[in-house]
Amino acid sequence: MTRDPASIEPIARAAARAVARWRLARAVKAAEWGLGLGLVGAVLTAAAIEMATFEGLAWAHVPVLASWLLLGVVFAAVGALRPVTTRRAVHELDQRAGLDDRLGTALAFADDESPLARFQRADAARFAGVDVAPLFPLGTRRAPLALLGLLLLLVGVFAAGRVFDLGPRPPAPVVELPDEADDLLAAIEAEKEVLLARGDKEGVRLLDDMSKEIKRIQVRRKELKRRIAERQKEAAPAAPPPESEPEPLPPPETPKEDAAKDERSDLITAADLERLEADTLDNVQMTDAQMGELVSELFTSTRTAKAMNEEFHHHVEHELDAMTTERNRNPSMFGTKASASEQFNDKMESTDMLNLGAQSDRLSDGAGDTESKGMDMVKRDLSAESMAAHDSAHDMQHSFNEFLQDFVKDMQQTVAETALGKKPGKNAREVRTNAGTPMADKRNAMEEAGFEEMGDMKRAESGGAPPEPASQGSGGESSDSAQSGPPPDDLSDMQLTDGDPGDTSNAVKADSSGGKTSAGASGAGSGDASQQGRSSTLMGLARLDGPLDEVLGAMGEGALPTEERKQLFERLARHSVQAGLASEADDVLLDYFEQAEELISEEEELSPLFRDYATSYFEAIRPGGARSDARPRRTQSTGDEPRPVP
Amino acid sequence: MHAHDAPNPPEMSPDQFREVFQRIETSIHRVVVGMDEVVRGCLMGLVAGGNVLLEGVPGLGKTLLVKSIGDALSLSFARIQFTPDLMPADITGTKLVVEDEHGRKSFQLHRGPVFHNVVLADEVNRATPKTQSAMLEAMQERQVTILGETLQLPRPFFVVATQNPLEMDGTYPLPEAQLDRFFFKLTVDFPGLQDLRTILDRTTKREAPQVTSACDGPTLLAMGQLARDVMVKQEVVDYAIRLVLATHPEIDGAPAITQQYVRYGASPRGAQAMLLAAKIRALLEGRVNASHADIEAIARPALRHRVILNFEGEAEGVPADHVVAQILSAVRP
Repeated sequence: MTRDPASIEPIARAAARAVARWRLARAVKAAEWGLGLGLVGAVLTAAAIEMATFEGLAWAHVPVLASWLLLGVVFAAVGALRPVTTRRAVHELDQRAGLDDRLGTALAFADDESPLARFQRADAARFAGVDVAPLFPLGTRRAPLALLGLLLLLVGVFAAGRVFDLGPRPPAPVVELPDEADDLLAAIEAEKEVLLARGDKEGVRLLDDMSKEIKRIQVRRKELKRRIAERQKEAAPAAPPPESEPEPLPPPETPKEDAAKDERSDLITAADLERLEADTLDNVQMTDAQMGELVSELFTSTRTAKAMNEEFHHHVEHELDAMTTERNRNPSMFGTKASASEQFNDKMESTDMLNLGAQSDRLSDGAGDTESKGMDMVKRDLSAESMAAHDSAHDMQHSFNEFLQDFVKDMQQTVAETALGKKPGKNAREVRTNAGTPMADKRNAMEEAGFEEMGDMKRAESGGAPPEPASQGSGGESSDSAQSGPPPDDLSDMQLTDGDPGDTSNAVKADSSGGKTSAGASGAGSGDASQQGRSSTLMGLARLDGPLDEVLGAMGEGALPTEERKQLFERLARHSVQAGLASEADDVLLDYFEQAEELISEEEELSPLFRDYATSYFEAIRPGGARSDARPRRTQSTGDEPRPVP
Repeated sequence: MHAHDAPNPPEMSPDQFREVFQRIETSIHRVVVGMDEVVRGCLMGLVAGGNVLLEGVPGLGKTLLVKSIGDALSLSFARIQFTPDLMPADITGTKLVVEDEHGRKSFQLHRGPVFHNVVLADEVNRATPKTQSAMLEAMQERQVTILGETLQLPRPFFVVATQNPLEMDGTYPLPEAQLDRFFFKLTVDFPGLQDLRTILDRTTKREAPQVTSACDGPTLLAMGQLARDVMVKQEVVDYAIRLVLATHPEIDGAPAITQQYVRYGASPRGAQAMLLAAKIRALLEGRVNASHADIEAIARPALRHRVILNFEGEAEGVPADHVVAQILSAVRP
């Protein structure tokens, strides 16, 4: 049986082969594309992992990278499942084989039995045996090379990530964030002005709170940044650590253990950051020593104020002397002696508590006994005009002393509230124990004692006897001793005395029971001992070293030198940052400085002398803002004291 | 006996078609040197029953080509030199008053040169539009009307018009509607070195070569019939249609060059010409099916005179062939 040369069967078979082959070729080509894209994705993923993460590439990432290759399978499936019509496949076969649409035309006219159609089919059948394999190649010729190149690139990236540390240094997200706090603070200030103009005090208060919080955060960030920098600096020469899985967050470690761990790894991971935070929160608390540092700073400042008051009083005396001299020259311009003396003594009663000793010194200096004081007063023969000037100066001094008292009181309260960190009640109790008695009680007791002494002095001036036998010495003895001794110590000395902390009144009475005035006894007798004891206590409690020694050694000498003050405040800020003490303490200080400066600037009746001293005072105790030339002079009595040795 | 009196054409096989066609070409090339594409294009137009517009500078052998075609096909040949004073009657003919031997006068039809199988309308753009219209009407209708009497033109009827692209002063360019009536527009290029040598060798001797008859009219008609029977699958037809549509800038998806330089595209006559020419080309290639390649091969002569350039295209001197080539690149099979 001869086969019909015009049969459509060979053409149909060729079409079927073309369909199958073309489907396979499309699947392979799609798989190539999928693999190519998958490898590109894997390379990019590997690079991203290496460059953007702290840990870098690890074997654990291999499955992730390999999953990209599944893209080739997906693409291949899509390519194979895409519909392929016979007509389209034959058209492709005609085009690729250069058959000039013979097969397609034959299939299109398969049912035509005309001679020409049969002739055409016979003509097409001559080409039906064409090999479709080379016409529909499986994949492109360069695809394997491209895929191999991408695979090598992926392996290279992985190997490079394993060998080298191409990623970023462990970032400190908290501290690396752009510091926009300044802008925010400026905006808050601007908003505050608007609210102030509207009279919205509540809004201003809220903005103030917000500013304080922002400043606190700034301090925290600064501290964290410093610590991280120190860690990185310490870990820089260390060798790269062996590959290991991220460990769970360990319990808080001591700084020494942290340093040892840093030597094992030069990378600070997220776990390290968490550990750092926990470490900071748990360990960097305000200790009693640090608490003592802050309190001593406050008392040093107070002592400085006292010294300045002494200077002020001294100048007032000079002014009075000058007035007296003028009065002697022109007696008609002044009043009677008795009225002047009474007026003077009345004003003396209202002198400040902090300068209680100084006042008594001055009183003693002017009137060792009643008669001599009276004689002095007579000698001076103060006129009404000079007494009015004197009264005005004392009023200003009195208001200033009240301000200082409030300042110290608030600072003590702030310290008690903020420096105690997580356990305010407990720590507050401890601080009070270290300090002897609660500060407020101490201050009240001191005030009472001061009033008693003032009352005694008043009675001594008027010839009366002191009400308490505790002052065993006579008024003359008291006068002499007080004249030669240093000024009485202030609240700080009493608070930090190593004596019995439970009974402040007894301590005060003991000071005043030495046959001398309380001021003289405190300054000459127990002043050095208490200061040394306080310093040793602080040094025993402090776990600090370096400049703090110098700072502590400077305590009790009046105003701190600028550099030492700066170191002290930096210490305080650094070690109490987690408890938020430094920022709040600074805020309180700054607020008070601002208030004080504002008060001074607004008080028109202040004499230039007083204004100068007050300004010098605040500049001297401002954290980091003091000028060396503006430091108040140290008192002569404490300038030569040796520094305590820890 | 004129050719138009030939009986019905005999059946012809594809092989015979190709053999006859090649024989005609060989015969023409005995006289005409080079111009292979032009000769083939003219013969394709002749087989398809169309007319051809030749464009080329004078002296390239256009007249010789057309005369050789007539000689090779044993067809009557007439040449009309178009001039501005040429009248339609000069082409179609007229009735003249003729006095017979008895002294009686009567109108006698005097046929014009259009009543030949092969007509050369030389420099057709030099005649007035009125005369051009009469000629082109005869080309399209295959008949002329003289003083109310309609006369059929001989079959096969083949007009080859020429025009000089250089000397355009005092000419009447053919309007687009008239250009569309030409099956092909062929460009006669200047011959190359070898062709010139051959021309000089043939024309400077005592005896010039002569064209031998290779085909007669009925065979030519049979070839035309066979060409029309060539099978074309729908994809190829669609391809020709897409090409024509691509020449129209107003059609969505037209190529960029069409939208930029074409004012109006090819008419359906363009698609007809492409398809017929593709069929003839397929037969010449030994196939009885037209392919996409056939369409691509004959697209230029079939479309170049049907693509009307806009002002921008004319101003920039964009060749129509370039536009067609870009369209071919844009429209894939």
